[in-house]
Amino acid sequence: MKDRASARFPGVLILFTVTLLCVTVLSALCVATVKADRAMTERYADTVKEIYRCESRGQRCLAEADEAFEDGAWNMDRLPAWARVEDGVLYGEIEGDGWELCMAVAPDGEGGTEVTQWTKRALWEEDTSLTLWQED
Amino acid sequence: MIGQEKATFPLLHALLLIAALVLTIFGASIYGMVTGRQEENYALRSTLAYVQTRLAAADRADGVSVAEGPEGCALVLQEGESGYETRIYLFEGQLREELSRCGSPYEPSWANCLAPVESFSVTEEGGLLRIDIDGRQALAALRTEGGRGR
Amino acid sequence: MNGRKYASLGDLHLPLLALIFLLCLGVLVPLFAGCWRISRETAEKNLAVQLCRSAAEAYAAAPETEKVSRALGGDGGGTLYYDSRGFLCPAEEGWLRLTLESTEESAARGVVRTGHFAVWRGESVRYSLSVSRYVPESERGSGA
Repeated sequence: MKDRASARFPGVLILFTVTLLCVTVLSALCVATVKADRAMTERYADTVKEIYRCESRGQRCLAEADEAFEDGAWNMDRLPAWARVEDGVLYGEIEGDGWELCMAVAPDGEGGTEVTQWTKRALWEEDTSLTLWQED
Repeated sequence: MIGQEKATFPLLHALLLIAALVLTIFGASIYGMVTGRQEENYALRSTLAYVQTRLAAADRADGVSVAEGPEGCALVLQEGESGYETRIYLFEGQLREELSRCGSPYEPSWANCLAPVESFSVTEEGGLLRIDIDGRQALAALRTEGGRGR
Repeated sequence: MNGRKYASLGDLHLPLLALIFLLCLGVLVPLFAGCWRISRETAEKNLAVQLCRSAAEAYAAAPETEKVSRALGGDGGGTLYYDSRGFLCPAEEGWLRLTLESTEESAARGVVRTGHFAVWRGESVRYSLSVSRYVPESERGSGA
């Protein structure tokens, strides 16, 4: 009996060890997959938030620009800090955290203003730029 | 006594091995679920989210239109003044992206495959584009409206 | 005749293997369970981002929550329910819920409307997004 047990012992041990090794490797793969998936999703979520933060900031800048428009002309005293006026058109370059927004606002000839340029660029870690929204 | 040992000893070994195997199967099923979810997440980002982002980048006066593709509709995005356009459409079970000269015939064999999908449609409702991929929908607003834009 | 006084490794291998197995079980089962939970939360967040983004786009086109709700396929209310695959469903079958809110700030020549969108799973927010739109006085009358 002991001889048979001794004979079976190495075999059982090998099988058992191999099985536990397999499940340990599986657990490592699981962890790696989950970490990669979560990192991608977090980055996507942060990017989307930044896109709309940029857009919202631009919209508020439009409101500030309209404030400076009175009686069909730009009031230089009420011009926002980020704006300058050239040939009757208000230009602005606004920078955020990893993005920049270039806008141009001109009188529309009907007492109001209209956007003639609205270019947003997000500057990613790899130092490439992606135009998020652009109008010529 | 010796007879009982003869029966119990291998039985205990077998139980231990079966328990180890059950743990392995459990781990494999969890891993399968996790990789399946990762693929679904990637598919969502590489289809709906990708099309939304491409639309945003192409949003300019007359920059975005919906045309007839090889199998249903195609989203056509003008590449500025280059004379080229990007077309996104469904062909043979794949969402494809093709960069071609404006007005040239569709060449699905040259197109870049984005992801396997079963259905793709784009409809416009007053400056709001509705993108439908495999029943899932995403919306994209065209900020440019007749050149006025906001 | 007297036999051994001490057990050999051959006699102890079964309890040893059982102990090792139990230790592995104690470590690996919680690890797998944790992976499964994080994977599910990541999938929910991915879906939540997509839903919020669509809501933000609809708000950019027409900054009113009722119009956003209808554009997303709802009945105009401030809450929409989605199943685990991201399809609109009745409230009782909902896995995720999207809430739509809008606030308004006065500006010199119009208003700045801000849409706040959040996707909830139970009582916890999976993702939230805000987007602002400037509505000049000239557009307010047209219902923009």
